[in-house]
Amino acid sequence: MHVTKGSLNRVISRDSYWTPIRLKSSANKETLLVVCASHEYLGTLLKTNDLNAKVMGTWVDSVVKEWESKGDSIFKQTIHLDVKAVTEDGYKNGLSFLKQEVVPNF
Amino acid sequence: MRLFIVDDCNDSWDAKMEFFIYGGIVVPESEAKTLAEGLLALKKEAGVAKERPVKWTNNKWNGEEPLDPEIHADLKEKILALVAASGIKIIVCASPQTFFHRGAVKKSGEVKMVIDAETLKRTQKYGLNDTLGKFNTFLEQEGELGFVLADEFVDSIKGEMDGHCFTLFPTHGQIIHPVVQVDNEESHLHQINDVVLGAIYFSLREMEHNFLPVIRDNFWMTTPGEYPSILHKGFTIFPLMAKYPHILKSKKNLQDKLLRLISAV
Repeated sequence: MHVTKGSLNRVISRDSYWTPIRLKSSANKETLLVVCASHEYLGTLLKTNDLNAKVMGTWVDSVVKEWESKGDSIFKQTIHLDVKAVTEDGYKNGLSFLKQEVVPNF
Repeated sequence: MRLFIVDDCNDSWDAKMEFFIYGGIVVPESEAKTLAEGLLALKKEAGVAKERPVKWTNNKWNGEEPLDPEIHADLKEKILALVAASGIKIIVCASPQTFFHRGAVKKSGEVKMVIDAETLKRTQKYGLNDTLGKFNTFLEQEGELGFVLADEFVDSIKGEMDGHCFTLFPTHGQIIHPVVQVDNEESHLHQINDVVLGAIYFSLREMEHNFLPVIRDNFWMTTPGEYPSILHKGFTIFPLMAKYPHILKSKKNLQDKLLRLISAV
């Protein structure tokens, strides 16, 4: 699977981060993964509040691995939205943010 | 003279945020009328009847449907801008939801979080102890007198709460009367207060829109010259000394989030 990582965006107004990742299969099928995560989620997962470039780079790599492990079935959809949050409310808010403020720009 | 409009926010059990917010806005007497007129002008501009209360939650009113969501959202943002441009100071405290609610086991065995007279008194006392104490200190610092307008206490705890307020300020300090209770929270200043408390509460929820930078400078903070901080001034988080690790962790998370949101520009 070929992976093209986009830039990591910090969204101060939502206390969160998001990034686009393009995935391409060996059969040239493509899908776009847009992932966002709350500061609460990242702080809990990474056990630090210092979300520097190195730490975040490692996290993005782990997300890529997670999606690669799903296999070729992910190419049935052209876009996937992945929200990482610690509460249901956070998940809902993150999904709404991606749908309303991020996806329309792609 | 300063008017302190005190209310609670997020009083229903909410697993989304582990804290309950109590407090409100401190309005300089000289600005009360300007703020009221400002709110009326915003309603007029938005085509909203002047009698219709505008609060954080978009409710039905007088048999009419809730406002158009975009108009309501725009009004709230403009109300926050009105606050930002004013001399309003914000004094609030956050205490764990478990101060206010306790788990009650239903016949089915299901645990439901409920408010009873004890938890209600405990929470209101915590809120009053902190915010009125802070307000009194603020008034001393400003060389002013103040008046506190609070949501009316429910009948079952009214007498005890009244007594508590007098115990809290036996000589009243800078506050003219410990607490004046009101049963109608729809004055112009109450509406502004409701929007401010709602904005604080929503901003602190996971991945909600952050409104705090707009009203950041309205929080009462340490005196100029010191490292500017609103913690233990305009925003206090209880318990001050957390006994249990999970509460300590929740408190630290909330404190860290508040500071991130406040510093965001």
